[in-house]
Amino acid sequence: MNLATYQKESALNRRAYERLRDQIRRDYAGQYVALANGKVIGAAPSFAAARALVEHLDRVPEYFLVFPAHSEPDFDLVYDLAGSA
Amino acid sequence: MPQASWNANARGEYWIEVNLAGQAFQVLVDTGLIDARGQIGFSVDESVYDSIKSAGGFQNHQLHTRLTADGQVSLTESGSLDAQLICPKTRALIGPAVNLYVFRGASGVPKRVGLAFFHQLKGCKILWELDQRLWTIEYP
Repeated sequence: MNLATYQKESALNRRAYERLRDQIRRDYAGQYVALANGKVIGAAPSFAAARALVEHLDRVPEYFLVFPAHSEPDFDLVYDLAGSA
Repeated sequence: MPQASWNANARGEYWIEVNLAGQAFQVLVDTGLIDARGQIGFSVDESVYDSIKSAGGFQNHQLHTRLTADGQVSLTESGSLDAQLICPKTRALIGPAVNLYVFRGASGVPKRVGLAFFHQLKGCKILWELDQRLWTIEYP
């Protein structure tokens, strides 16, 4: 994924989350939520199952988020300057 | 306050020992592992990460977006756990236990501890004696 794609998709998902935060916490309590393309793709009881919801889409987005419904997703970049992709 | 100290190795690296979800690991101090929210404390190679995961050592998981020095942006799985310093002399757990996320890093890259871990050590101080190459943590 390039930086421009990340910035565009992250901004889209951040706006969606800010709009849907209360609904996510209410409707998906105790689950993992998958967010992509500016919308909630779905929720599942486990991280792996929620991630699979996105990875089984016809067009798998390059950037998406999976997070516990009770906590804020991390839209920001983590700098890992000694790491490798 | 009591102290624990670690010397740099011949390569100038500082390796400290931490307890992650009940297991002891040597981790390299890496000031290049940073995030704005102070959530990412560690990066471990995928085999270690998967071992902790299969043992039920993580409390929560998330996908984070990682930028590496080569400019690559990638999605990285992480899991949260409790972490605590291990005294190099007595092997006792020292300082506060903190809850942080651990990255599932690439194989072959050393296990590392980032700044978020140190930033969460409430009441602690780091004394870095530069010419002595000595890294000391004072803890309550």
